[in-house]
Amino acid sequence: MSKKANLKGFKNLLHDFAESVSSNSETANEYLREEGFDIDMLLNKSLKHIKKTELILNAEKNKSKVENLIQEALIKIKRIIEKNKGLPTAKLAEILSERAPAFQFRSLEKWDDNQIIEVLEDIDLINFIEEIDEAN
Amino acid sequence: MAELKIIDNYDNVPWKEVVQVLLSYAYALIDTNSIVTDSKKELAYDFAMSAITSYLEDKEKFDPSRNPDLIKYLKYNILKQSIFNYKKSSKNTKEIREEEPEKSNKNSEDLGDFFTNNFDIDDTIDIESVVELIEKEIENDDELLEIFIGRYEMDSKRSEICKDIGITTIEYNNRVRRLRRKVKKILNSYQEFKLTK
Repeated sequence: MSKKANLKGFKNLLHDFAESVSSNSETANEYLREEGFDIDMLLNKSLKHIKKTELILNAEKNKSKVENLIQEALIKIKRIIEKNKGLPTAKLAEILSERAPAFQFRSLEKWDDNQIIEVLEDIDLINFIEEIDEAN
Repeated sequence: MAELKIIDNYDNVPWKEVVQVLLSYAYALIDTNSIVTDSKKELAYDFAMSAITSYLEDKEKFDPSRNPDLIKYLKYNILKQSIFNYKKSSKNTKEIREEEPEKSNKNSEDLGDFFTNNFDIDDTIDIESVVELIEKEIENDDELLEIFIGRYEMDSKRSEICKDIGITTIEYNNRVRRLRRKVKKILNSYQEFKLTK
């Protein structure tokens, strides 16, 4: 048999070794302890890391969802103000003031994007968008 | 105990079990190769955690319609790939290189050829001498000989060997673990012998 064929066979065995010690958590735990791993410490550390990663990723995902909704709401508001048709701006102001106490019936036309976004950050955006869509 | 598979309920992954499986898979791959010179335990842990983080950051890359088992995806499409990439660059930088996980979800049998083509073995190991020692060690152990001949000499797939000798994959893994202990002892003594030469 050629050396090359032997090498492939040897690699087959090495891969089987890795498979056999990692087929389930019980076997893996036994193997890792046998090899001198402090498995309890590593599990504790890894589970904390996973939890933290999941929390960060969820927060990022939610943040991005909220940012998208704010942009959607902002576009709708500006469209209403600019075109001054469909939903009257007075109605829009009413819908906003119901949700945001800080909104004092001031003229929406004079607001810049940042001021509108500041109000939108404090309200239930999905509900707000649904209502202006219905009213428009 | 049966093989750990995660084929549904991906939002409630039993991470405690998964970490142990990935860590042992990574360590076993690294441990059999002395090309890797960094701390193998730390490196195996980093590989396992990096595989999980990669998955969490981009879950859409896992396509259950190709192969629903998340464990296989983590092992073969992410973890194994990182280890091979590390080894390639690792003669060697110390950084775990992240590369795009492959699109296809490999199964463990498909992995055989990929593994043998990509896995480097320390050039200083004389495989034939080591194999001679293994054969001598197991010559009276028929259970291990069957596996050894099938896998090393005949280059058969695991599923074929199980079928031929009528054993389950659980029994196959039990025998392989016994064989691993013997081979590891031989490889260790072989390395020590080389060092003292």
